Order: sequence, then structure tokens, then C-alpha cells
Amino acid sequence: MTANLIGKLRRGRAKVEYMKKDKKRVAQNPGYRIVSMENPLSPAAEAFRRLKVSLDFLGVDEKLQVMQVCSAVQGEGKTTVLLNLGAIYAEDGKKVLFIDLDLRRPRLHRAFKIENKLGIADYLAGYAKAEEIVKHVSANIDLINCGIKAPYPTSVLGSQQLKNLVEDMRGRYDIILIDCPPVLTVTDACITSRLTDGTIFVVSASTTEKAAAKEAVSVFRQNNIRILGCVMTEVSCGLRGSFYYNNTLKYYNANYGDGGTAGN
Amino acid sequence: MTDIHAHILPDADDGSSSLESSLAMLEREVAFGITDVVLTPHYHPRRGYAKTAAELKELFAAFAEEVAARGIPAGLSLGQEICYGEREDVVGMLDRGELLTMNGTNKVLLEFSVSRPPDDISEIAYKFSLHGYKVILAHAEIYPWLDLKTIASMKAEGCFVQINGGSLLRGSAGAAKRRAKALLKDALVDWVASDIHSFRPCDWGKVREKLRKYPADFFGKIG
Ligand SMILES: [Fe+2]
Repeated sequence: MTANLIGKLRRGRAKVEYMKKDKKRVAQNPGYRIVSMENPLSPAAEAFRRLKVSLDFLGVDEKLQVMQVCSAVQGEGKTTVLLNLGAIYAEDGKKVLFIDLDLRRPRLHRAFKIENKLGIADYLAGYAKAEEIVKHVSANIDLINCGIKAPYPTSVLGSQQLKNLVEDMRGRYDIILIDCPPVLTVTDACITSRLTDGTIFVVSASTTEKAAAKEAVSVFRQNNIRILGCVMTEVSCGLRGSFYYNNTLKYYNANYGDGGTAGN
Repeated sequence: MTDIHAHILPDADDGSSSLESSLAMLEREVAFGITDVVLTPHYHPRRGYAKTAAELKELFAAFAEEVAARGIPAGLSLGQEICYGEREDVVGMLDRGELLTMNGTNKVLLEFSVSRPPDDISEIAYKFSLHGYKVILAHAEIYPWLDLKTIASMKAEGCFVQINGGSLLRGSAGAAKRRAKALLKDALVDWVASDIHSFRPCDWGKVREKLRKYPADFFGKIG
């Protein structure tokens, strides 16, 4: 199995400011912002556009309509990647649907400042109808949030009912992007991958440990998950010489095909 | 120097059962150099503390009058320490004015069960933020289930962190002390407060000694 580095995303300014203020690097999340929407001309938006082009080319033979975005552990930027990528498709006139299947730690709804009510879990439990759980959140973008807490996420995610729903949605949307739990935390991502045409693997240049990335890849491999490519987040000039950056990047170039970069 | 977490208001909760003990507590605070106190009685229905906002405001007015009459130089304001529970819709209660924010601002002093962790604490704070409130995590150091990383990410999401001065002193539980120090070291603390009750005084002298090596101001006004 090979996977190319299909995207590189720089560390956001907000994050750097925060770091300066507290003089300490802490895992944190600046509110799930969609820069591609807020500032379509920014370099960050441009990087996401390049990611989309990479995916367009990866989908030449097999159409990539349903994709999931996954990371090794929590806090590596998978939700941000998913949101921005979706925004780029929407900007292109595609009808986009986001589905939050990170049932244990749902966050997708936060990007649109809505409450996590009436979502996929409510539907699967029979508490809500399909049309009730789809929210129109932005031009060309609909969202199915997570909703009520499911006591047995793994069995919910493997359900035929969910499969049917996603199949049904294939007929209504051009692109469906699924947020799934980190692959090393639980087996959910392996289960949800069966709903998709491929998985985008997100790695943080500053926080993902080499061992975790390696293990995640072996999990993907064991489960025959199709990795479309990996997106590296939190790349910053200051970190270029750091342990993580060098090691992770080297690792990917050495282990995943030609190391071609669609990112800057 | 503001103490933002204190159970000094008489007859409001388990903090103080008489006016005299409340006045003595406040005078002690003033003697230690505290200039302002936010009185934060419990909202904790499972322990029987569920006074209405109107009742608390009445108690506060009476107490403030007494303090002024005796010439105790302390700026008083009213807040509430709200215990989060799944059973009550505390956000809705705040919206309806049934619970109190800190000194009428959008900040809410929130505590949780020590033994039973909430499902997703960051999501709870998000719900508050959707309604325009900012959560101050009350004594963030006392929860065995609340790790530094979660606190840091909640701070990044707009929450504030308060620790109890007493947690830094000898006699406090080892784990809470360790977490309090780690929070200070990582510059995650916004306020150090007394969480004073009549049965649990706060030795501000010793606390300030412990805080000397940290440059930040931990006693800012709530505004
Ligand atoms: Fe308290």
C-alpha cells in the first residue's frame, strides 16, 4: 500500500498568538474555524484547494464521493481539514454533506454554532426521521450532526440502517465527508471506512508521534482501508527543524510512495 | 485584589450560618489584603442548596448594608457557584434569570461532581457559550478525571480556570496539590480564590507565598 502526502497545511496565526501568550505549547483548538470560507483568498484556503485537486486526480478512475477524514489520535486537525475541504467543494458548486460519526467526541456542529441535537444517533435509535437530522448550514453545505449519546457506538456504526442512509445520501449529494474517531482510540474508523470510497489520513507535523502514525497505518493496513493520502497539518517554519517535523516527514517520504506534494 | 469564589453570604448555603461569622470571615479577608469579594453561594440541589436568585439578591442586599454600616472596606458583588447536573437545565435557568452569573457579567462559576465525571465537559462548556456564557471552572484542580490537556483545550475554547489557594498548602490532598501546581506552571490559571467556608478558612498569607514565583495576577476583577 502506498499513500502520498497530498496536502500540507500551515499552523494558523491564532494558534501561534496563543502559544506566544502562554509561552507553552498546549494541545488546543481555536474553535473549528473554516478559513476557506472566512477568507477564500488566504494561503490556507489555497492549500485546501490544492488538496481538492489532488483528490480530483485520485478519483479519475474511481469516483470519490464519500470520504472519511481520520487521524491517529485526537487533536491533530482532522475536523478542521474536513470542514475546509468541504467548503472548497461547496465553493466549486458541489452539494456537500458532512456527517459526524465521531460518536464518542462529536465536534462538527461547533463549526456552525449549533447545538448537538437531533443527529445521526437519534435517527438510528428511531427518535428522529431522516429529514429531521439534515441541517442546511451554509451555501451548498448540509450537516448531519451526531446527536444523542449512543451507548454502543461500534454497533451503531456497523448497522445496516446507517449503510442505507449513506447510500441514500449518495443520490442527493456530490460529496459526502465523514468525521470519524481517531483510529488508535477505538475501532470505529475501520467500521466507518466501509461506508466510504476512501480515507484521508491527517497527521500533525508538531504533535503526532512517529510511533502513533506508524501504528495507525498498520491498523489501516490490517483492515484493508483504502488510504487516499495523508494531509500534514500544523506545519510551521519554526518547526521545520524540530524532531517531529523532520521525523514525520522523512517517515512519510520513505514509506509512502513517491512523496509527491500537492501542498506548497 | 479580588477573591472570586467565597461562601461568605450568611444563610445562603453551608458557608456561614450567622451574620457574625460572615462578618468575621470578611474581616479576615480584608486583613489579608483582599479588596473585593464575589460572594458565590452554592446552587447544588442534590445537597439541598437551591435558593432562588431573588432570595439570594435579598440576602446579598441585607449583608452588603450591614458590611457598609460597619465600615468594612470590601467591595462586594454577587455570583453563584453552580453545580452542573444532567437533570437540571442550568443553561435555561441562567437564561431565565433563575441562576446568577458572576457579578452580572456573562461569566459563570461552574463546578462538577468530583466522583462522577460528566460525559463530555468540553461540550458542556460549548453549550454555555452558545447561550453567550463563559465558563469559569471552579477549583479545576480537585477533579481526578480532569486532566491538564482537557483544561488547556477548554481554555483555548474560551473557558477560564480558577483554583483554590488552599490546594497549594500543606494539608491539602496530594493529587489536587500536584494538579494545582501543574496548572500554575503551565500558565493555565486565571484566578486563585479562597472557596472559603466558616469551617474552612483560607490562609492568604501562605497562599501568596506559594504564588510568588508565578508572575501572573491571579486576583483580577470580574468584568
Ligand atoms: Fe465553592
